[in-house]
Amino acid sequence: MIRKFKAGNIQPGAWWLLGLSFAVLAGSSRSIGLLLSVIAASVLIIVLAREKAPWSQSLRFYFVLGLAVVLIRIAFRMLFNYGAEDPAPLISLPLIELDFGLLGKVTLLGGIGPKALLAALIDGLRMAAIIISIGMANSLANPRRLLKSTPGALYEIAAAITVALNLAPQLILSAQRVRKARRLRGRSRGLRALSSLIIPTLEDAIDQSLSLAASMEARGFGRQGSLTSAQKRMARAASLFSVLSASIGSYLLLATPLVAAALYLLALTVFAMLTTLKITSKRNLRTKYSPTVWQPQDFVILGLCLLVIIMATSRWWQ
Amino acid sequence: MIELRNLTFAYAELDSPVLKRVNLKISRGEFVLICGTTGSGKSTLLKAINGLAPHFTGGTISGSLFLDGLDRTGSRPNEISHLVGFVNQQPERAFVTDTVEEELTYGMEQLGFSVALMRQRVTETADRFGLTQNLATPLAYLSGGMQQRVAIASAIAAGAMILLLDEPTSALDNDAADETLRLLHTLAAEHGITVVIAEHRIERVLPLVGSVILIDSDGSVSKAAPREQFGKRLDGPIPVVLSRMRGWNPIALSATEAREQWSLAGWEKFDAELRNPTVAQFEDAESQILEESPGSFQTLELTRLQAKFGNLVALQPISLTLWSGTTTVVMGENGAGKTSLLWAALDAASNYRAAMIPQVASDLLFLKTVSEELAEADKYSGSSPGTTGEILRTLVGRINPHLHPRDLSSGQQLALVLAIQINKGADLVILDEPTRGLDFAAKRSLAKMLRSLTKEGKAVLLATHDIEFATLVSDSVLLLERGHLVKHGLPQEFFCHDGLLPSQLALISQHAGLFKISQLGDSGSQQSSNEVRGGRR
Repeated sequence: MIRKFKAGNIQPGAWWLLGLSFAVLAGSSRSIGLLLSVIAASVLIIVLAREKAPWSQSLRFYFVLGLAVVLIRIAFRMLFNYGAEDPAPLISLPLIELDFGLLGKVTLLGGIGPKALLAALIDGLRMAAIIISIGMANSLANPRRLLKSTPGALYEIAAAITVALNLAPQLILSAQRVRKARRLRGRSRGLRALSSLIIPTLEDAIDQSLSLAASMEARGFGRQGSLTSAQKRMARAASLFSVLSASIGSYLLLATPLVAAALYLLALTVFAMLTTLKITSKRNLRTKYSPTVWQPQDFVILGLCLLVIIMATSRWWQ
Repeated sequence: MIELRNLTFAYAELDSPVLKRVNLKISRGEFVLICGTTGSGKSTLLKAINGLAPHFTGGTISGSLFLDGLDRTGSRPNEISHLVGFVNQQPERAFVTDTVEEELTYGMEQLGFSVALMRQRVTETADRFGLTQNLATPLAYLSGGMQQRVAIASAIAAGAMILLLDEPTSALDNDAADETLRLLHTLAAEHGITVVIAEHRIERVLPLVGSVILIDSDGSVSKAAPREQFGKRLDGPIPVVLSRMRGWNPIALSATEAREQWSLAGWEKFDAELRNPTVAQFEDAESQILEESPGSFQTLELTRLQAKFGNLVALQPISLTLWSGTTTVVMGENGAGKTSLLWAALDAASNYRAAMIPQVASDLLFLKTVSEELAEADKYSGSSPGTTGEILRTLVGRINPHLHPRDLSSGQQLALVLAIQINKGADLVILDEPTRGLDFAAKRSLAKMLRSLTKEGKAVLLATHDIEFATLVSDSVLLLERGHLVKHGLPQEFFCHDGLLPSQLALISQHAGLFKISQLGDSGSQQSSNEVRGGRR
């Protein structure tokens, strides 16, 4: 059963949708319990589903990043407390007032109450939860397979992202090798440690990504057919329309009570964007050898995404 | 099939062009080898044929390029990818997908083949290249030889009539290299594919190719039959060098041809014993040195060298005795534990001053010019300014101090790193695969460098899978197999025709005790006058 849900057996697109819906849930949540559950769920899913692939070995990195965000958020809250003295401070720190004359006053530190700390903790946790959810998608989705299922018009951007994603694990490997080599040589005092590590590592990594890019091009990547002038005009008109309707639609939604008209316009936007994509994709000659087939387990993940999104937006429905 | 007219390629930062007014014609089904010293522009010539130069390398190009009768001057690589396949030195760096089947189809997908045609081609190609069992295998799990084969197969599947290969065997062990080259030969001879290959390790390729393109250090290029090209030069693999030394005509290109010539020459009586010390003589010499100057002949004891990665034992515990003033060569297949042994030796040598040069020597270079690197080395070791530069000069002669270290040839980079490392003072110098990417001249120059180190009384420990290079430098040899020490002995015990790693000369002569050119007389050493020339990778 669990084998079916291993990273490689699920569409990479589904992993990204799951990661994004987790991120939406975290972004709209204000409860510590819910945020901690999002983090726990992401970590659990990574641990259960990941396979031995270079892009799956970065859980610790996202975890450390998330922890750092929480700590920094709390530290900032303690530093910039805006003089909001709590009547019953949890931690009492000396209040520092800096007077900049005409520019105004800045208050630093001061007594910090449980409420302020809690708010900071929730803010930090929310960021951490978003980072870890996106990290989950990044660890589980195979970037190369994701590239295969992107529409033709976005293909070049997706390819650039793929090359970049391939670079990250390579960068870690080169850094380890270069650090080992540098220790062999040693360095005189006064020479910056960073430059001696970063220059060879970057050179190595850039060599790598260039050689991948060159190889893709030599294999025919980026070959383009041509569009008729009617198709070109149509594509241009559709993309212009989608930009206009998107901006008017979001204005109506956010600033006026005309929600129905706004939603209608936004739906038109999506339609126009899809039309643009469809037309410009024709420029691409690329064919697909094995078409993407969504399996039952993919739909289970999609269902999970839907559930998470409903949870995230439940406040709006009521 | 391929025609270059007046092609000139230059980098703005270099004074002279890499390729100068090249006029070449390569016909359909021809198997061609591109030769030249390190940095002479072999891969630039290849890349100019498929458009990677100048589109990916930078630089400026003039002249014209015709492929299959059409003017393709200035085409981007993807515009001619249906015609030209390019195979990299390290296929694992160039793979675009995850599995064999996906890799085979990638090129076809880009060209817009129909699914039915792709299926047919995948089946055909897999069958032809023996990949049917491996279609679903992840590329990362394949051996180097298999990876190379997949890269070649993918180009052919997409319909390439021209195959360009940049040092396809340099990362392969001997058997895999032989197999890859035979495959290319078949493609050219039986399927009419035009194969152009740039190589350093030409001894295997030479007997198979129809013609050789030679790039001179001034950028001029000539194409002729192999015998004609190598008739003019002393440089080359053992059969060629032997032919030139003994004045054989026509010259021998392969070991088989050389063996015929050898038996014709009636050299059965040749006595190699005189120039080839036996174990007893070696021990005599040692005790004699000890008597003459006690203390100068030092032994380095390295005990319990071992290596483990998790549960995997890369190297079983080994104890080693190295003698100052000698070179010990570690040999073995890929994955035999050579590199592990060297790092373990470095750790164990904490009582001695040891200097290590890792596989990618350029990792140790991080400043902007050669002179800055030299000054930094002097400063670090506390020696007076110019000391490292002096060492470098004795190793390879003068190098332009204003060059960027990355623009040096592999041989020069190696020499620079060597100079930096031994300036710190070293009793023991350890080198991991120092011959990677070096041509004949650079290898000889490296051998000379190592000799000058041992003359100063340093012990040298180096790993290589290059048997011919090992015959040039080794005083003793260690053979590893899957982490075990198989044998530690004198070179002649390994490299003679009845040894475990017979050298080419040993195989040609089948003569007891004969395994290296220098045993045949002084004419072999004349070659070392040919110095390494600098240039751009």
